[in-house]
This record gives sequence, C-alpha cells and structure tokens, in this order.
Amino acid sequence: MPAKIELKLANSAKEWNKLVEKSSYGTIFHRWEWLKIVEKHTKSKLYPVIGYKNETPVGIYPFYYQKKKLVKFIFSPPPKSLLMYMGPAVIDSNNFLKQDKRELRLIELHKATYEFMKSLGYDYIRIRTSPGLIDARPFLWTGFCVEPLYTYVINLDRSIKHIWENLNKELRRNINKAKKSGVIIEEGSREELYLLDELLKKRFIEQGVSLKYRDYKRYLGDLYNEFYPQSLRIFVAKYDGEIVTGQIITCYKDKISLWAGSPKTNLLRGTPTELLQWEIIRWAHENGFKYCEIMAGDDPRLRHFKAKFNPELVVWFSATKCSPKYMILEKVAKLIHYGKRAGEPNERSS
Amino acid sequence: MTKVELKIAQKDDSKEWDRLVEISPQGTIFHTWNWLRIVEKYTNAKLYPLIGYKGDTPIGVFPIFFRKKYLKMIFSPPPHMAIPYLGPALIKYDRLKQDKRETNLIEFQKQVDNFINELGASYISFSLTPELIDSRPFRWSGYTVVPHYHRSIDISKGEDYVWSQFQKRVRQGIVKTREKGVLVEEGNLEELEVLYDLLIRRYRELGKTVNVPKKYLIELYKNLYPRVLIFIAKYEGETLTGSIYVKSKNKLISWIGNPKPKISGLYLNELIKWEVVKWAIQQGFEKYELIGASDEKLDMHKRKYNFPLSVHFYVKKSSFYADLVEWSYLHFLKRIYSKLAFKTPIGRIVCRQK
Repeated sequence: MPAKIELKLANSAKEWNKLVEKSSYGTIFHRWEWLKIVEKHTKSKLYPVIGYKNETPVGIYPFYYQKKKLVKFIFSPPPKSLLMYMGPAVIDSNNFLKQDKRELRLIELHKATYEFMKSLGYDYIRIRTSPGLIDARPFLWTGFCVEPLYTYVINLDRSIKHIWENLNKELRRNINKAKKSGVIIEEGSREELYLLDELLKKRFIEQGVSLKYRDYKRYLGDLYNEFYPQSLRIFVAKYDGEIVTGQIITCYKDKISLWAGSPKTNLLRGTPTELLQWEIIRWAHENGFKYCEIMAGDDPRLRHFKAKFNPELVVWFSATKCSPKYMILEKVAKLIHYGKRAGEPNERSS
Repeated sequence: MTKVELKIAQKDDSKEWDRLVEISPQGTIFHTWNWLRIVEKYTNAKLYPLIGYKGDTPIGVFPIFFRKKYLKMIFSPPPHMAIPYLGPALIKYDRLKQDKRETNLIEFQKQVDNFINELGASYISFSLTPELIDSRPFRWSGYTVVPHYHRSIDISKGEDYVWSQFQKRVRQGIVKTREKGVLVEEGNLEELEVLYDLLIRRYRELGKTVNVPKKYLIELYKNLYPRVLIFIAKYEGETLTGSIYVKSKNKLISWIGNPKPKISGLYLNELIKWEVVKWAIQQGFEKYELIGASDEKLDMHKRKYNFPLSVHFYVKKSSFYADLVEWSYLHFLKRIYSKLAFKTPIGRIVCRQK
C-alpha cells in the first residue's frame, strides 16, 4: 500500500521557494514573497499547502480563502491581484520525474488539498493552473468544470535575426516606423512604475471598465520593493520626452513574462507599443532567457495584435466548482445585474 | 481580405480530399474518404465533407455528419463509431505563421458554423485532434470546451527508451509471459471476429455493452487493410486477447481491444503492446498512441506504460431543448437500451472514448 499524502502549511519562506524552484510548474507568482504581498492586498487568507509523502515534499498548492457576506471563496490566484495563473505545482525536479509518478503526485496532491478545502467550507473555488500543465484530469475527476485558456510564448533559443524574420511583415514595418519617428525604449524604475499604473487606469476608464481597475499603486510598490531589479523590471516607451506606454515584466528561471502593462496608445497609430514589446524580446534574448511569454492569448481583441509576433500557443486551465447555494446566488445576481456573474472576477493585464 | 468559401466534396473529389488530409497536420486516417463513407453507412447520418477555399487555395477540410432524430444534430465524429477525434484539418497548418494559422482557422470555423446554422442543427459536437490545440474560435462562437486525454510516446527514440519507460512490474511480467510460450502475431478477419466476441464477453462481465457494430469493423478491415490491422496473443493455440491497430501517417494507434483475458497470471495485453512497439519501430513509425486516458478507473491500467499524456478538446453547442433530450437519453433511454442490447448478440452504444 503506497504511503498517503500528508498536507502541512508552510512556515519557512526558504523551504517554500526551494520547492517552487524544483517544480517545472513553479512560477514567480508562486514565490513566497509574492504570495504574501497578494495576501496583504486582496484581504484574503493564504494557505500555503505543501504535500508530503514519507516526509518528502511532493508538491505545493497555494490558495486563498475569502469570505464576502454570505459567500466563501477559494482562489488560486485571487482576483484583483493582476495574476492569471497559480495553482498546484508538483515537485518533478524540473521534468526528471517519470510520467506515472508525476501524474500520481498531482492527482494525490489535488485530491488531498480539495478535501482540505472542503473542510474549510466553500461556495466557489477557482483554480487556474500554470501554462504547460496539460493534465487537468484531477480537476475533472473531482467534479470541477474545466476550460482551457491560452497564452503565447516566443522561443528565444534562436538567433535574434531569425526571431525578427519570423514576425509578421506589417509588424516589422510598424516597429521600424516607430523607431524612425523617434520613439525611445528605456528601462524605468519606481517612478515609471507608478506612472504606468496611472496609464493603465486611464486606459481602463477609456474602455468603460474603470470599476475593475482598482488602485494597484501600493501593490505594485510592494512588489517593486521585493523583486526589483532581479525579477521585476519596467520598460517604457517615450515620445517627445513623454512616457506614452510601458510594460512590467517578470523574470524567473529561463522565462520572462510581459506581465502587466502595454496600455494602448493612439499615438503614431499604436506603433510605440509594438516597438516596446520587440525591444523587450531583444533584451530578454540578449540576457540569455529562453522564453518570452507575451500573454493574452484569450482576448479576441489582443490576440490579433500578439499573434503577429508569431509565438507558440500554450494551453493552461481554469477549473471551477461551486456549491448549490452559489449557483442559486449566481442565478439571482444574473437576474439583477443582467449577466454579471456573482463574484466572478474578470481582469486582463491590459 | 479574401473570404473563405465552402464546397461540399463529391465522389469525384475523393482523391483531392485525401491529398488534403495528407498535407494537413490534423489529417488522420479517420478523415480519409473511405473511412468517412463507411462511417456514414453505419450511422444513419449524412456526411458533408466540407472543404474551405480562400480564392482557389484550399485551407482546410472539415467532415461533418448531419443526423435528424428527435433533433437536428451535427457530429464530427458521430457516436458509436469509436473514432477518438475528427473535426477540422487545416492545410499546411504547421508551416504557417501563428497569425495566419489563426486567421484561417477562425474564418473557416465561422463559415462552417454558418453552414450548420442553415441546416438548423440544435446540437453540435466536435472532437478536435490532439494536433489542434487552439479551441478558442469555438469558445468565441459559443461552444463549451472540455479537455480529453490520450497517451502517446515518441518511439523514434528507440526500443530501449520505450522499454525503460514501462514500470518494472510490467517489464518482468512481459518477460515471464514470453517465457511461458505466448505468441503475439498478426491476425486476420477470423481473429477479428474472435476478438469481437471476447470483447462482448468482457463487457458483459462489467455490465456494459460493446458500442461498435461488428459489421462496421469488418468492413473497415476489408477495405482499409493494412492500414487497419489486428495483433493477437496466442497461448497453447488459443487466441486469448488482441487489439485492432490503425495506421495514421507516422502514428500507430492502439485502437480497439485488449479485453482482460480469462486466464490470469499472464501479461498478455502488455506483451502485445511491447511486441507491437518493436514492430512499429521497425516499420518506421514515430509515434505510438493509446486511446483514452480521461477515465480515472480505466487509465489506472494504462499509466504503467508511462506514455506521456496528450490533450485534445471536445467542443459542444446545444440548445436548451437539445440539452434536455441529451439528459433524458443519458439518464433513461441509454439504460433501457443497454439492457435490451444485452440480450442481442450485437450490442452497440456510445463511443468507447468516455
């Protein structure tokens, strides 16, 4: 009889971060410091679950618990954190573990954590897993509704000339145009980060979704204190001495991600954003990163823009489960709000 | 921008159809003309082999089946035919840049959706191939998307690699079984019938019915051999188990079969898998696929081979009325039907996949 999995809540940042490092699905958003900052700014309680088998850690599964009025939520990641994914990460020593062991670890870790979630009580659970984790069966097998989501990743393990030639022709033309028009890309620091926050807010207001964009200044400030410059960087596009758009990127393991930013600018027909993203790709290539995740594969509007970079499409999953009580509340809320889902967050990085 | 236009392929176009299937990375043996026509014969559904053109250039094929029974339904693939995936196959998809891939898929899917709307279908179900992971155009046009799984291994890495992946217990079992004198060999039509009966017996033990019509399998074998072939395990002259395999380009698919043998202590199905892996490597196949990894209980028996998972997507769109009919079918009619089918020698119901 194989040993049963045992869950413990982590209390050491060092141990936790080591596990994140050892899992192919561990992202920067799984890092202890990031989790803690999210906890502080989302008014939720973090449960940093570690699964052990015979004293050996086999996976981590961070999630957040929130109670709003009558409804208990469990999220990984929580809304209003500008995060797309998080979820479980099994320790596979970065892909060295055999297939059956890796699968079993994930199945057992999820089942045990789900039991734990049940013991806490929930009305709505939403888990969004890391890109590349294609095995969503543990969720299906525990009654979750699962749907695929997508992100875009550019493989940087080629010459920069090759990457450039693979871009869409029109995109290359636009990038060159922006350069000729005098758009400059620079690295920014805290000041630029706050300015970018303002630009994002403005863009959300323009789109008529101002309510969804809260004040992220303090949240971004805390992340900056913790992660800049090692794992968090800011790039801005300047035109006539003024910042017209910018991008926050995260750097972790062999990948950089175009995380929050790139608010649309109407200046020069939007070409500064294209130049900005290209310059970041070049920067990542020069600095030895293997992948550049440009995100936003799920947005019908943004995907048109992103696909021009000729990235690879990578799948990830959203798994949700709700109690009968939540289903009724959701139906009532739908009737009242004409389609607005109760508590269902919907946020995009730009 | 040139609009995508649809054409329904006719009998004269069968060669062109197969050529397009051949040059599409999503084109499988299940997409080939002969297979589709045989499926049409056994499903009481009308096949619409749609080809999408941009100007004069074909950009994809999409075989859909239309059936009218209580509801107007569209399938690709239809149920009961044990076809794991079908759906659209885009021409030279792998050679296009991402933005072009997306435009072609989105526009083609939109036109097919229009075509389906004109037929007035209220229940639409597609199973996309593992080579088409982009399910977004379907979701964006109102389909629900659910992941399903198979297992496939890269056998171009060689025998030793595949062998080392098998769990130790399986390797020992295979060696022991071979030592006992079990033979794995290619079967013929006669063995296909034996295998079918073995499947019926095994399913009966489990309280289930075999879903695929026997005549359908026989016709496929007669028409498509050697792309459809059988391997069986013989012990003391008796066929104890076996499996039907299909060749789909560089992939060999372990398709239907492997009933649990009545004799215990021998690793017969495991031995078949291993012998066929070796055979497939010799024949120059690059991939070996095991169908179905979505069912928790069934998958427990397949995990031991350590083949990586591959994901593909089921997409579905249905009206409220269609949902109601489907629900009643699954909860009442299917049960009654399966009880009746028990008494007949040839059972048939529901795709083996799920």
